[in-house]
Amino acid sequence: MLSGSVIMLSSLTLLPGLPSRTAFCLAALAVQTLGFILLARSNIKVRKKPDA
Amino acid sequence: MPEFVPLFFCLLIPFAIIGLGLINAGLNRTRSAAHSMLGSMCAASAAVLAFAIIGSSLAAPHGHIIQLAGKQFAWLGAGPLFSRNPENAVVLLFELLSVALAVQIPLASGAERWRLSALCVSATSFAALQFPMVAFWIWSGFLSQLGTNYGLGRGFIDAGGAGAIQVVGGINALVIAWLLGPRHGKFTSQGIPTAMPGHNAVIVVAGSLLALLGWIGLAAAGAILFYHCDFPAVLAAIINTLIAASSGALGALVTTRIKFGKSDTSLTANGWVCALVAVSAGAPFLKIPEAIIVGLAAGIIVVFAVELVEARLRVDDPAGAISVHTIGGMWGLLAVGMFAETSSGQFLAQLVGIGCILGIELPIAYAINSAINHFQPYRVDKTGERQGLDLYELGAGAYPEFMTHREDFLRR
Repeated sequence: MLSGSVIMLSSLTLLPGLPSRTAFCLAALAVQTLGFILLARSNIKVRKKPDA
Repeated sequence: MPEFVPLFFCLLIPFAIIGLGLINAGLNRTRSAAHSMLGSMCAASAAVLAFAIIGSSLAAPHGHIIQLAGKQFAWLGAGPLFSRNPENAVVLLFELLSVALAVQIPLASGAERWRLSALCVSATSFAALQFPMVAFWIWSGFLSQLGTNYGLGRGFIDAGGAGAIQVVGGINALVIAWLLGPRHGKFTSQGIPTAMPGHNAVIVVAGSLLALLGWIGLAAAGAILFYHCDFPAVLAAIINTLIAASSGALGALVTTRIKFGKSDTSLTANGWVCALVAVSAGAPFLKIPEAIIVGLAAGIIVVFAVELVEARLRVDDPAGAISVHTIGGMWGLLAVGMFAETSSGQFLAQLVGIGCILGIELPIAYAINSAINHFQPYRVDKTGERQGLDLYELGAGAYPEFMTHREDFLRR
């Protein structure tokens, strides 16, 4: 999730135009979403038990 | 505008704190109702003191600045400790009340199993570090300067604290719920969530209605203090707040009616609060039809978000705080980018703001709370949870004269 923020701020600083900045920021949000999904999965404390 | 005007609106914010306290208590079971209200008071007290001593320094308007590719990047405030000689005492008051409000949000997700001493320590760390950092970015730091530094609209807009208060508080609520784990009996052995209804729907609705006053104060005071809005814009903020809340409540009412066959009281109250959260981001900058859309969408979204958090993420969030504050806040911030009339790039500014809050605040909140949990365990033991936090931690129940406690956990 942190790397998503780094990509976002880097794209703002290094890229010139609005379309390219928007594209990179959306990619950064996708990275953050992936990080969130991984974090959420690791925190699921109720595991489904198989039916007997 | 005279200085007493933002001061007057700041004095309305405590109604939001009382409102959230009542909602949290009402959505608890009777066995932990007094603990919930006392937790609200203690968390607010700890947060106010921590912010006054340390946090206000990190949120001070003049910050540490680094240069990135020729652009100024203000990343943290740099004021004196103990709030000495605050340049603008009304801003300090606004932030003190905001942090007291923000710490109410994690209390909702940690209800019925979060120890009183641990929640005070968590609120202290939140007010000393996490809230001031994000509040500085949004109201004085690099996010507010996205317009001047990078040509993105007016920079990140968050007049009433949808990001600084609600999303940050909601992220902490999620972290607390993860660390505490679900209440005993909340999920079956198959992982299916069971209903654990709150004990008093009346105070839930009363708290929601009371919160309206607080959110009017947040939206109006924030508009004056941070965006220097004139009187018509402040009036628009107040009207939009009321209209969005009404749309949110009706949206949730109809959605629950269609989805479940009957309207649901707590979800409708959640729709009202979620709309308040969403519209607070850009209340002074929206037109009435846009406020209706923001509120209505918030009321509909919250019904599905509560189900998603519970059934998919398997997070036990008794009052729906994660959905109401995090998802509602993010929707409101995005809506500003979609509707507010500014120069181009406003939507990107809002995206960058949301990305920075989520991407930096969530790992920090997780790390800090995990460390505290290691030394000061958050979760009460099994006896305390079974007995109820009122008897276990306070020695007396909220309703001692007519309430009998019995073992009502079913083996699942």
